Amino acid sequence: MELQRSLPDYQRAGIVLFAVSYDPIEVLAAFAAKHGITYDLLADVGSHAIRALGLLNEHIAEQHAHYGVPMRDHVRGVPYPGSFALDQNGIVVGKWFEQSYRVRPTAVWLLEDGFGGESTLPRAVAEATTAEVRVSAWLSGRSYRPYQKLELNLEVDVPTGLHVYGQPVPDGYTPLTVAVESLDGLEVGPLELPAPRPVHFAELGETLPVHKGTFRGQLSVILLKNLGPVNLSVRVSYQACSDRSCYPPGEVTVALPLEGLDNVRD
Amino acid sequence: MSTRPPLPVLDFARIGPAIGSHFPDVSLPNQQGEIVDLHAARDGQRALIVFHRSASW
Repeated sequence: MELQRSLPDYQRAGIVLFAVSYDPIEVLAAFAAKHGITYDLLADVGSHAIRALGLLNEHIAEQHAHYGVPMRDHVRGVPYPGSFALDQNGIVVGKWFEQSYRVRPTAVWLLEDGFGGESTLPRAVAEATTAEVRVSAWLSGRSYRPYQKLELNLEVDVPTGLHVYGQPVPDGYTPLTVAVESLDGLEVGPLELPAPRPVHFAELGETLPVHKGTFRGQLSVILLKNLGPVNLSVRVSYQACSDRSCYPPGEVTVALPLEGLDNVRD
Repeated sequence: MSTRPPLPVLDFARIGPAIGSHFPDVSLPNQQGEIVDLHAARDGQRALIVFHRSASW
């Protein structure tokens, strides 16, 4: 399983893993044996803890109707799917929940973004350089499974003396944008970038939002089905300028190779 | 394409233990049948607690 692969990295960061479901002990024991799971799988038979924590999913019928999944009795008693990060004192410092039972963040994402830990698992990395900028991109892993939410990280390096435009800018300027080439069943989340700084350009008589130096952005990527091996092609469009003049708008594309895997089913 | 009923609007900030609160005590059996007290088991370390639907479907 996915968390099990990252277990050594979690242990190194001093993070203990627990998974809670309403399954009886025998089901969890069989699941753990089959998939080699060594962290605690906790059996909340009757969903008493799930209910006491306020996590009982009271909207399961509506969600199933929305996703077109037939409603069955055994789904009553499930929690909302999600995770909590606790600090050393047991205080909740992170909380990630989804409406869909199929969408879930990767273990690497939770470790690195949720806890500031570092994953040692292999990941897809790509880099490209133009005359004006360097762009590197990496994903939390080298593979995807249907509905797994991958984090795509970008680092843009703009040399000293140059800047690129953020958003919003008036017509005629090209802000930095990121587009992922479409694939069948690919869902791309909004790009998160640090807020651009407003800079006044006396010669233009305008104040414009700019990015300078090295900065990072993130967006989420979900593939709804296993397409086999894919190249996730990420295009960054920008216009680099100095205080006096601009280069023509440019773009740079990086391709991240990803292995497709099926979901683990019991 | 047929229109599906909309998803309910859920505010997960208000569902379950809130950020900044102490995670409640939970004691449940693990896959070996041993009772695990979550806070005792993490023994002063940080923790990730994952809630999921079921291992069997």
